[in-house]
Order: sequence, then C-alpha cells, then structure tokens
Amino acid sequence: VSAPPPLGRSLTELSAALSRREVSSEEATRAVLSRIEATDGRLGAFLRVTPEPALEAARASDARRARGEATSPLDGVPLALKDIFLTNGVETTAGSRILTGFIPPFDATVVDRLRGAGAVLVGKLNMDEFAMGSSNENSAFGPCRNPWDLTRTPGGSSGGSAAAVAARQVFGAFGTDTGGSIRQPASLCGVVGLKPTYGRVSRYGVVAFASSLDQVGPLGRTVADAATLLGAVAGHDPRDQTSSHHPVPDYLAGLEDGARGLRIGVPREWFQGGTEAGVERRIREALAAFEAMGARLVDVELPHSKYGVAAYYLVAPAEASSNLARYDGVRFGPRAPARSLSDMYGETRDAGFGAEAKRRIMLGTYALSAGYHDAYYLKAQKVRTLVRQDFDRAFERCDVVAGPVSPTVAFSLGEKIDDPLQMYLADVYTISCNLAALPGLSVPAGLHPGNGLPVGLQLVGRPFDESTLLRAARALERELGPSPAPEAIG
Amino acid sequence: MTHALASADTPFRDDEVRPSLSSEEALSNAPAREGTCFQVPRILE
Repeated sequence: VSAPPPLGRSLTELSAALSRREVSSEEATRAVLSRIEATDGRLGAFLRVTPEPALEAARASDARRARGEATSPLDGVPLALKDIFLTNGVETTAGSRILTGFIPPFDATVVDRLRGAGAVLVGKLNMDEFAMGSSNENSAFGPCRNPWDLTRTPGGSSGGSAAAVAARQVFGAFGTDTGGSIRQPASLCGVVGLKPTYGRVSRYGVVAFASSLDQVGPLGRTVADAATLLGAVAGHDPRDQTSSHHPVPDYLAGLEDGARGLRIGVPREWFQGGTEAGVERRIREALAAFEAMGARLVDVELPHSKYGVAAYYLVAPAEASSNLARYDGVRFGPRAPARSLSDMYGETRDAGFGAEAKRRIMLGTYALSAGYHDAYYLKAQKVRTLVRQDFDRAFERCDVVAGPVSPTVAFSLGEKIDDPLQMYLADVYTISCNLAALPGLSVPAGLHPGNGLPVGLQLVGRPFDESTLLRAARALERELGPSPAPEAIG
Repeated sequence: MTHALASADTPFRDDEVRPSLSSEEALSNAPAREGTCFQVPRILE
C-alpha cells in the first residue's frame, strides 16, 4: 500500500511519516511548492515563495535524518511565516509599501528557533498592512481570499497564514495577534489558531504594531499541530525584555486528557444577541458537547468587556503611532525624492503608508497629544486593568472561558472595507484577551448551518495555561473531527 | 503603568559589549549612504 500523498497529512502525521522515512522532506517540500504554484494565483496567500532555500533546507533535513540526527518533530516539515517576521536575506514588508525591498540582515528569534528545529520555511504570507485589519484587504500587495469561498475574505490580519494552512499549501504557519489577528482568521478559515499569553513567545525581529499587545502564535490544521508549533518557539529570549522566564511545559503531554472535570466559563456578555444566529448555534452546540463529555458549564461575567473595543482603539493606535515613527525613508525602505529633510519624511510616509495605517497613526498621535494623554491613553490603560480583573474573577470559578471568536462567518471582499467601525467590530470578542494579556485559541466548531462556512469556538485561559486551552480544544476536535478541507480552492 | 505587564520584573543584565550588526549590515537597506553614514537631504540651507 502506498503512503497517501503528503499534503493530505496533518503536521503531526507528516512528522511521524518523516521519522519512519516513509516520505522525505524533499518530497513533502516539492509537494508543497507545487500546491502553492497551482493554487496561489487564485488564493493570494503568499507574498513571496522561496523555493531554492526551501529545497536546500529540505535536503539538509533529509541528510540529518539519514544520519539519525533529526533535531525535532519539525525537522523537515514545510512551514510558512506571516510577512511580519524578519527573515535574514529574504524581503520582509509587513504588507506595507513602505518596506518594499527591505532585506533584513538578521532573523527574528522565532525564525531562528524554527531553523534550529529543522523546519523548512517556504515563504512569506500575506497580511493586513502592519497587522492592522480584520480582512487582509489592507495589504499593499493585493487581497488574500478565503479558500472556502473565493469571493470572501480569510479574515485578518494573519489572513494569508490561515488561508495557506486551510488550503493545504503548508503544514503550519505562524502569525501575530494584537486584537484577534490569529484567532479571527483561524475561525473564518476553519483551522486552529493560538494566541499565547503575552510574553510567552519572543517578539524580537517581529515588526512591531502595538508592543503591549502583540504576541506571536501558531496556526495549524489540528490542535496537536498547533501544540507542536508553539512548543518549538515558546520560551524566554534575552533579546525581548517582555519575554517570560515562565517554564515551557510539554504542550502535547495532557492533550488527550479530555474535557471531564473541566469548568468552562460562559460569559453572559458574549451571548447577548451580538452574534449571527447560525454562528451562535454552533457555539452553543460546542458548549453542549463539552457538557456531554463531562465538563461543567459555569456562568461568568465580564462586565467591562463592552469597553474593550473602545479601549483597544486608543491603546493600539497610540503604540502604533510611536512604533511607526521609524518609517521615515532614512535607514530602510523607499525614499521619496524631496529637497528638504522634513519634506522627505512627509512625502515618504504619504506614499508608503496605506489608508488604515494613516488612520491609526492619526488616532494614536491624537490620543497621546499634550492635554489628551490622560483622558485617552491613560484611561484606556485603566480599562485594561478592569478587563483583566474581570477575567481573574471568572477564573476563580472556571478553568477556561468559552464563546464565539467572530460574530459572523467570513464576510465578502469589499463588504466592510469602507466602514472602519464595522471592521473594528469583527474583533469584538477577541480583543479583551489581548487587553488582559491572556492566552486565547480558536478551534473549529463545525460549519455554519446555512452557508457551510467554518465557525470557530474561542477558548481563553489563565496566564501561561496554554495547556488547558489545548486540552479542551483537543477534546472538542475529537468529538467533532477537524475541519474538512475546503473545496472552493480545489 | 496600569496594564497587564505591571507585575513583570524589570530585567537587568551586566553592561557588557556584545556582537551586533556590522556597519555594512546596518547600512545594507539605506536608500542613500555616504561612507559609514546614512545620507539625508541637507537640514541647514
């Protein structure tokens, strides 16, 4: 019996097949590269594919394997990265025209660790400019489409990451999540997406958006895939002073422990009619499935979560306006020709930034300006504390908090792009997790009863308790099965 | 500061010289350079 083609396997299955030498990394990598070539003209998940270095890394992995020196479960596994991770010698744009042609002279810590683990990096994935957006439509380099329905968005900002994993172009991907940018596209594309606790994964060499909120995390086809990917990159990094010394557990260890005995908090505020009916039905069915598996549902309250979006749109733009000050045409990126230095700054930034980046720079500059800082930025930081305290109280009575990731399934390209407030509300359920610095995960909860598009269940956990999130998600996955492959992309 | 990081300790390390990017690497993306400097339009007329 011949082995199934490598693309049908999950990362975990591919990893096992590589160790049994049933398939080589070069075969898996060639399959991935052909798949990308065959599908990405329609999907738009990749900004850049790097076949030569990928095949070279694959052959090196096969050579290690032949010598019995494979370094990790990721050795030889083809992965791709959101174009926000600096990759030595490979252009990195963060989806922005202002970084066109930028070739980083070093790797992000995450990239360094993945290379050390033997992973094969095949390219850089599409994203909303500077991770600002919920549909991938703010990319300066064209939209990414949802592999379930090519007229719809994959979500964002890690839209390319979610689309590529869902479309079986790669075995896993990394993204970043500042207000929902891993979980929301994972939900809309039917994959598993995990935003770890703030500080769990190094942000060194990751293009900064809002530094007190940004966190790196994995997207995978299965919960075990996401757990393996997280384990490869988590842990303290002396180059990121916000990275934590908290010990990194084996995320696969308790994965199969099931949901029995888990207390699942159901926040009243996440079930008050703000979610589309078919999405809410799948979420309630998932909660019922947990109950049937022996978990206990507990009513909890997150009374300050209603201020989450407002607080986020002060904190995140304020930090972004500061972080984006570095793009001035002096050290990297294109420079607009101008006679004076200040004209050069202005014209470079005017030509380089898209509309959403400019909007957030203006919002943030205003929120930080003299006389307004206390009323806006400081007040928003105080709201963060209240949001966190809500969760702390909830976790006295439950182990995880559960609810929808997104109020809707994937929406159409163009549907919200002219209405920033509607776009911001796509993250209404995901933002409080970032404000509170907690880990959050999206796991497939079935397909919408009307339109057949994926629905994701969100699980939020205690600080550094990614293991319980993964265990609960795995229990649901075992019950419902992982999301099927989308048919629209072929 | 009143956000979720308030409880994190301030990390300290010894003030030792450690390798970092070379000038050539740091200048490798410069739109304009002169020697080991980034070049910009003149500031004083």
